[in-house]
Amino acid sequence: MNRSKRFSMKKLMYVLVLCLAFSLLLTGCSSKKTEGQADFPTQPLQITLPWAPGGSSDLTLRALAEIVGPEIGESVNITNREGAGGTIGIMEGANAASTGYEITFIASGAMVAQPHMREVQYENDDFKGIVGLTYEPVVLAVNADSDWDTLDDLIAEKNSNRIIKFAHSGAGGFPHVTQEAFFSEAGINAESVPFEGGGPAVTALLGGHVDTVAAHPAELIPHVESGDIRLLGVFSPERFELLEDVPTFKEKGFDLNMSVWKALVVPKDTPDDVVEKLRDIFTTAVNSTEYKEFLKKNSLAPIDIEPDEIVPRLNEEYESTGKVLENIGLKEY
Amino acid sequence: MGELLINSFVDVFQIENILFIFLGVATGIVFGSLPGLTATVGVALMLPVTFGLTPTTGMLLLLGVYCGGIYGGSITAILIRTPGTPASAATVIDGYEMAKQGKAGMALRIALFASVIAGLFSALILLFIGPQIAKFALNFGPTEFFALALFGLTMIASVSGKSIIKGMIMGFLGLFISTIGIDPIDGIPRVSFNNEYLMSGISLIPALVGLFAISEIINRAQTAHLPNTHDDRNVDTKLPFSKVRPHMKTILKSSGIGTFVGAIPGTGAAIASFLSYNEAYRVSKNKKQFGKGSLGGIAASEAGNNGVTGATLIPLLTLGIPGDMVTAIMLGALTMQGLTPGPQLFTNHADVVYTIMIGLLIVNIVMFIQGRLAIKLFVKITAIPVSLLLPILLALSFIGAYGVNNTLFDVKLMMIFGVIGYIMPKFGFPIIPMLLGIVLGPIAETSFRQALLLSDGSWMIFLTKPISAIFILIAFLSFLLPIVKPYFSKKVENKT
Repeated sequence: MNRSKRFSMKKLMYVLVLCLAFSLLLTGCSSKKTEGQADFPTQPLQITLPWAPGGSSDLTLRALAEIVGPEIGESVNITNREGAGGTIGIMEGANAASTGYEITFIASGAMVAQPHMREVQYENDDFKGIVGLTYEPVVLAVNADSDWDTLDDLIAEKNSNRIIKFAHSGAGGFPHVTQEAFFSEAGINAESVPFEGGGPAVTALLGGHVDTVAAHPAELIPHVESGDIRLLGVFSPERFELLEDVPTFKEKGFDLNMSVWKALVVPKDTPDDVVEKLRDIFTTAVNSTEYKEFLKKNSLAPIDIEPDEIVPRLNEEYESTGKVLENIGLKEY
Repeated sequence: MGELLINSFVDVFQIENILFIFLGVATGIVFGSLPGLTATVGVALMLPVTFGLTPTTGMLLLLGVYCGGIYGGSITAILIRTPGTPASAATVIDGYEMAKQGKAGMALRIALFASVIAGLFSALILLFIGPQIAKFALNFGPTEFFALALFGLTMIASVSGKSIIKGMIMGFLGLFISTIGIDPIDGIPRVSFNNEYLMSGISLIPALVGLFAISEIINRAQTAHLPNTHDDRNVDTKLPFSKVRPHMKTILKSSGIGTFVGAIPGTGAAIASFLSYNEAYRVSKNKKQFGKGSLGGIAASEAGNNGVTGATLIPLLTLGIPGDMVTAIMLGALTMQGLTPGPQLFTNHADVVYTIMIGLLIVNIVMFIQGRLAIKLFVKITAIPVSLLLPILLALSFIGAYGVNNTLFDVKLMMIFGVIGYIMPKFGFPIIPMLLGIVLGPIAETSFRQALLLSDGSWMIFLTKPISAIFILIAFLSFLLPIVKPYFSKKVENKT
């Protein structure tokens, strides 16, 4: 009896000591935070990537981390948090701690198209922009064996009875929306065939299972070089620097501008001085020769955008994409 | 070509290549054998390491992890009924039975032997007829994928045990689970109740770990207080070649199936292993032995999944198409090095390509050496007291399930599947058909709907395309024959 009482006393002491230690730990946290603002960063940066390892987003981010890490003397950790078209990772990014240590990688599609198609738990104004990274236009391609040599040949299908099967990386992605909008504007009979990602869609075109595909240059260029695929047009206002001889849809009278661009963002409550520091760190990194070299090797182009323009531009594209989606009957929200 | 081969052969034997192959295979075996940590996780973790290496060494490291990981999955499948990777789920069926009979060593050895033979077979195919196979694999469009998936689903008949109806119920439950999340065609959330986590679907790993590992932990925990009764002294049973010889045909055939499946982008080791097991069961004259510790069953499953390893590089290296997560990461590793996989790779960097392909042969030989040592060590797991083994296993399962997507949601899912995996078999509902449904469901559904979009809604597309028609025919036969046969043989008996 006595013994058990002593034991419980001992237990109580443990709890008390634990509480004390914990509260000390918490004060430690808060003091660190104020320190952190003066001298940032003092601990590793965590970047959440809402897509799988191995893709072009993953590679760009890893190349950037390799440059930033040594520069700031802290490691840069990348967490792949894929799922639901990137919306899970971005949702978690919107709810991350506003310390500047938790950064989220975004691609414009998940910010300006997905929210029109289903409910997501974030909006563009939840974030502050840090740096713009890459810009990837959407390109329409056909198999080299196809009858269509130019965009005009394809537009001429207007009067035929043929139903064109177009492949893309998944419902609601830019490669889907652009083709859907083009075929409906051009009055061509067409059927959407979604695949799970750009790779499988391009593969289906190579195998002759579909008639056209829209994808990003990095996914198409190797097959263009080998002569298996022909590019017909780019869905952006200007021609793409790496594909100078491919015309834009605008030149043919279709005003369709949907390019994917990627950026790093932090939660909106992150203190301004920390945001400024992060912008400096990453702007220096994207202007480094190493990073430019990386982009060139991988058929990627940098995007020219000021950090504080990132969120306003997302909002702008959110509105314009909403209109396009409404016209082709894909807008749900 | 001859000179190139010899040069590449010499290149492989550079000290750092061999060193990183050893490191890779060892890492792979560890990752593969731990429940929840798969070959894919291992390869993803090793990706940043390759940035500092030459393209060849980096790729050999990743290939080592990949092959080792696919093989390693069999170790825990056999010893503790917990497949380390989805690809070894079919190995559980016979492997664990053998372990229970005290023949764990024998089961582990045939798994290693079959894995290595299949790996070598696959690497040789890649080396000599890779580009030709790649061209053929492009013929696989949505229609053919659906036929293949349907064929895979007929395996439900061979793993259902006593009641084929109960097997089918579980299979359909698995298919239902695979429909949770964003619909692959229209992008509409299904059965997800506006929950972001459910929207991304049920991940395979938490389901696998729950169905097998957690259920087994619960089962064993019930008898953990009893003293260990079975004899552990002689579990490290040897495998004389005379016992392997009758299964050589199965191993080679399964290697072929694995290689074939691996060459088609978008399939994977799990499907290959299921198909091989099913085929071995179909042709076997001794069907009763399957499910009760058949060496042939283990050999088929393990040769099937390792047969994929070399073949999966075929679309990657020749067309620049990653067929699954692992090859997607390898594609990343190569592009980071400035080598864009694709048709141009063979012309521009033939030396690197051939060194990688020959290196794959070495990877499999290293796997054989390390595997033999690992077996001696791993077989001792059976001697660990249950009271120690279970907590360790439980902790590993939690880490594994959490690690897939870095979320606790998956841990909860794993526990739900653990309860399913524990309760359902008590009522005679087998769990392998459920796993089959979860693995094949997404492929079957997506490709079925894509095919109908392509055919403007006509179902005839599945029968007018030759490859698809053949698979559907075999699927029907392999499903119907076991049901019809007893009826016919009874008739014959009645007549006499």
